[in-house]
Amino acid sequence: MASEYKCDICGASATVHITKIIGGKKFKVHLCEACAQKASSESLNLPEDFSSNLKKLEAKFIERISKIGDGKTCKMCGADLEKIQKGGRFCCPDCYASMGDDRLFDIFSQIHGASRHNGKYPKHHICVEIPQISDADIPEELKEQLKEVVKDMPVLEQLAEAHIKIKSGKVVEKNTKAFAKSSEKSSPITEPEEESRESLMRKLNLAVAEERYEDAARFRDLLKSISPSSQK
Amino acid sequence: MDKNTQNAKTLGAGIAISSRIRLARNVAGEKFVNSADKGSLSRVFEICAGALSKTRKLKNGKLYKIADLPQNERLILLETRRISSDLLDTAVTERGLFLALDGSCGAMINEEDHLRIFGISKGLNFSSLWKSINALDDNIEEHIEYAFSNKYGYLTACPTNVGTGMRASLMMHLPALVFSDEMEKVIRGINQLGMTFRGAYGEGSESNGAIFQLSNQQTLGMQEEEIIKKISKFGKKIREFELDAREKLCQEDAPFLADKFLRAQKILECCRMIDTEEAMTHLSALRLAADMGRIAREDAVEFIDALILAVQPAHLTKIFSIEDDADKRDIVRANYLRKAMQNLPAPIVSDLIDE
Repeated sequence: MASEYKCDICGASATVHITKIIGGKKFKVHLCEACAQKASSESLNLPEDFSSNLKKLEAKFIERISKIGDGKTCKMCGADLEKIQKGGRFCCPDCYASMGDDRLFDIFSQIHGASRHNGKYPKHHICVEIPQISDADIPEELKEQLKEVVKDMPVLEQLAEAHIKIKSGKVVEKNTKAFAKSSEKSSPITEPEEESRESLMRKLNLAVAEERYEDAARFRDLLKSISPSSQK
Repeated sequence: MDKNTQNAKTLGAGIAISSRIRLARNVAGEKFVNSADKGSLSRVFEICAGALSKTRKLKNGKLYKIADLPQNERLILLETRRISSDLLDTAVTERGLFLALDGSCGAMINEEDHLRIFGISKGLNFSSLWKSINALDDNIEEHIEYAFSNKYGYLTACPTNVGTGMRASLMMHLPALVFSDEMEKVIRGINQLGMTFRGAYGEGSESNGAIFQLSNQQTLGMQEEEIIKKISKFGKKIREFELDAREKLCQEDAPFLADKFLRAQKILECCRMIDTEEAMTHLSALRLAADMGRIAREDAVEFIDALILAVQPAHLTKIFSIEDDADKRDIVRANYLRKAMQNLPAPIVSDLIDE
């Protein structure tokens, strides 16, 4: 919980902390505000329909994940979910996920007449949840596209990377209120960047995501040499 | 806040007593208070206290560990609405309050949620209050990862708080509506429109001192700005109802009103023993007179507000260092009020009665 982290890209004081949960394992990325903004505005230069396929995939997995578990007890703390549904209190943050979207919809519609958050987001800690996926879960057409984009990178990491870019762009949008409100749109507005900088940023983010920190440091130094104003 | 001072001479400015916003937050990865063990609660306490002490607004504030406070000090915090009665439940020992020096904002630790961040402001003043609390929330979040879901917002122990975690409330003084028996109707109407409206002291429309609390019900699916817009709109509407009721009483029931004012003045001038409930009833009548411009003292409403607080049991016990004895308190309260009445001019009622 300390605030003394350094940005993984440029080394400045980090104020944005992204937690990636990939297949149940946690990864943390720390960024300064400037690099977080830039990371969100960089795209992977993916094929046009990649985003929509990815979203379908995401929806499918979230649906699957919400059904995982016996539905009777919380996956983390073991709380009795039926008791909670009948008007009790939740016992831990994971009770919500264990309860599942259908039951939460029933509970929230009754209490609030609404079922989705429409208010502010945390500014400094961003959580991107990527459910566990196996090769068998990926549609064929997506596999082909992925093969084209990154030849030897593990599928999971690639999807995670793309997901983070889209998701954290969306979250940063909301927090800075600089963009029009749209709960489902995932394409951040960007300003044109020089090709070489863009490419370097992409490689840097990929290296960070894969925890190849020496490579990340190398890309960071190259970026600095191109544009000293990238430092906070 | 400046607007409120400049409106001090406006009749009815005292109807909206104070605005309060609270945000419910929990630490990620930790069980909620109702199911956490002592170790977890201790850990959460340290995390929260640490984070709060680093914020701009609270770094010069004070941390109170409730279990270490004498009972009367806890009750003082309750009477000034800095803590809720839930926080007093000593079954959970790792409970605290972090309060700014001027008492205008702070956070309860390990009440129903790990953090209940709050801000209080005089009058109807939600916009600037929200700006201030929002900034405090962001400042705290630099040091704590909150339990948050992109889909459902801030995750809370009770689903009635999920989403924004925001409860905005407005304390209102509505004596004319109570006198004209209109309050039941107003309460029913407001509660049907998705807000919660009830007596702040006591049940239903019989709230002691005619003080009522308006708050939002919905916390999920709305933006924070929408919530405060809604409560401001409702607050202004209720204020209009109260002003209309006052006008009507003057026109149609003037002797009744005069009687209330004069009885209140005389009883407080003469009493030798008086309990909290009766004291608040009479102070409420005088507050109405003051807010209608019928007491020739510029800060009459503020003066009476200070009396209302001072006559509460824990405050009285502290001010006069008396033991916890109800009868002794009733005598001390009466003495205190008799003295205070020497500084309050009599309410003007000549236009209300035929003499």
